[in-house]
Amino acid sequence: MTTQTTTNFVATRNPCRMCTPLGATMVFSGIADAVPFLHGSQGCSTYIRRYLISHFREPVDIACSNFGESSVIFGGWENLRIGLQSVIEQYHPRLIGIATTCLAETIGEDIPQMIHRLEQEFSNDGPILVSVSTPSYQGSHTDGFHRAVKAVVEKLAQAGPAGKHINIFSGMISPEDIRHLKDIFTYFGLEATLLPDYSDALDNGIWSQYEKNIEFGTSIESIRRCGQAQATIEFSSTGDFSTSAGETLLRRFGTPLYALPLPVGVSLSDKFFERLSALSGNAVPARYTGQRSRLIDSYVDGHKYVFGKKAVLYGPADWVASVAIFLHEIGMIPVLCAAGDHKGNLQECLREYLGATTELITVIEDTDFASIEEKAAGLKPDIFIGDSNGYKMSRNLNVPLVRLGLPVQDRIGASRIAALGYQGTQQLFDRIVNALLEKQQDDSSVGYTHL
Amino acid sequence: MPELTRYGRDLQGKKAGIYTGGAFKAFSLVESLWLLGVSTAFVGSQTGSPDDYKRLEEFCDKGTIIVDDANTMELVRFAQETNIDLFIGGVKERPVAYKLGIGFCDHNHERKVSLAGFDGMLNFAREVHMSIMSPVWKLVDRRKCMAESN
Repeated sequence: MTTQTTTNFVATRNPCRMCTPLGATMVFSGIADAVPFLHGSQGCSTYIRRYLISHFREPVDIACSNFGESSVIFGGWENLRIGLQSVIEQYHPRLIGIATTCLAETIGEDIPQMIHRLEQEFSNDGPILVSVSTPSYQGSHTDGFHRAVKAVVEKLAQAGPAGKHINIFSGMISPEDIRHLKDIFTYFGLEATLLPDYSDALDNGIWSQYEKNIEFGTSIESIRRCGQAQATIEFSSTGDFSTSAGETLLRRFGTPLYALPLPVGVSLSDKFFERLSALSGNAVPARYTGQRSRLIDSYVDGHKYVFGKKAVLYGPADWVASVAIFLHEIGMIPVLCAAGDHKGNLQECLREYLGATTELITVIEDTDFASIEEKAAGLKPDIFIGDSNGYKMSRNLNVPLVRLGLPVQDRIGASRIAALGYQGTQQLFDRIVNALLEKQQDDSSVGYTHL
Repeated sequence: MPELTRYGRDLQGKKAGIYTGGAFKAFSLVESLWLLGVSTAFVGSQTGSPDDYKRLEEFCDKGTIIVDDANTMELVRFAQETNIDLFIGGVKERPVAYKLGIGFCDHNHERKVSLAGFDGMLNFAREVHMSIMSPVWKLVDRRKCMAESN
């Protein structure tokens, strides 16, 4: 007789994702003269501010309509109106990005109708109001991010004479990666609208006095011109268009859309640089062919340290996919690819690049840290790659963790973590190899000073 | 042995070049590689005697180039002409082999992993396997490097 045991789903234990509106507020923070605003109770904005502050180590202002018992019962219209007026008086924003919370969605707040009323009330004097539906029981922080970009583009993009500029919707990346992308466009001679751009708003210098800090980011004018761009590049390793701003522009204005995987590693970065070369009509600048060549040289220098090493990756599916493809490129095995969000096609996406290696790996989506740890324990990995929330698991299993993604709140420098392009990959590669060497060195009874 | 057989399957038909200090190491290396299915395109040493080379010639496959007291430029030329997958030499040849997209194992006295005995053979097999089978070589256009340097 064989006994089959099945594990029944109990509950999510330590989720491998964050709140949907968290992603949306990051988008609004990355638009010039815009203020993020949450429609719901105050704890939501407090939680999100607490996470973002720990990650970016910068002041983060997120307004809120501060629901109390009466707004839950009678609706939050009054709170929204008063809250928005208060933000307008204090910040004088040109745009307010309103993201809903679980509570507002559950009681069925009709935000588009409320915005319509407010726009009539403010007539032409008021700020642009953009709303995005982000209950946390639908999707992850990255889904909230993509939905907010789409909502902004839907509201602002206009038709007009075709330009040579391009749009780039990068998804959730670090300020360092944003700055690197902007440099790349400059060297290619491309005018690019990168939406959002929180590389200043969420990573800036010392102030001489208190700043409202809303003037930084993608300009509203440049977002209006998104509909006139020669093309859109959207980073989506899993090719999910359900929340795609690029798809909106393609449908509405016929703007060609190039969905590229997040450019991590040589082969994925090549795709990105080849596309920029085609769009700009310029060859890849020597600066970047040099970075590429040095990266490959370092792959060769480090190939024996990484060959056959087993990695557990976790985080948003798009990132997991690109990092897995990069690890495969250097001879590591991404034995467990765990996505906290749900795309449904991570496995197929990996098969396209990893071929037969896909049979050696486990792919799970919509998972939590308890499940990842259970699976990882049996796989005896050499390294974890993901955000700080995986630290407990890394500690329990005595496996080193290379921090990547959001949140990274137990180390300094989350804003400066690079992973994109040849230069970003170089940093990621060095960190991975050094984490493996450090572990090998620490575990050795000899303590070699030369590896 | 099953692990060796597994590596041997991947390594069948690959070519190596050997350049050691003393000739005695070359003998062991040729034999170990042979056990893994890797042939030797050239073999040599810094300090070998005519007798050693005579024995090496008998010991190796026909056509193997026997090298005595070569400098880096000569070794590079042999490595490129014979299009080897792996070079075994002193540790200072490593960066040169890497630059040219050739896998490398050292047999230096400061090795951290032993090569002697049964365990050593397994260590050697693992290192040869990971050196030759690493996918990073796909990104290095070795033939392009060769064309440019000729």
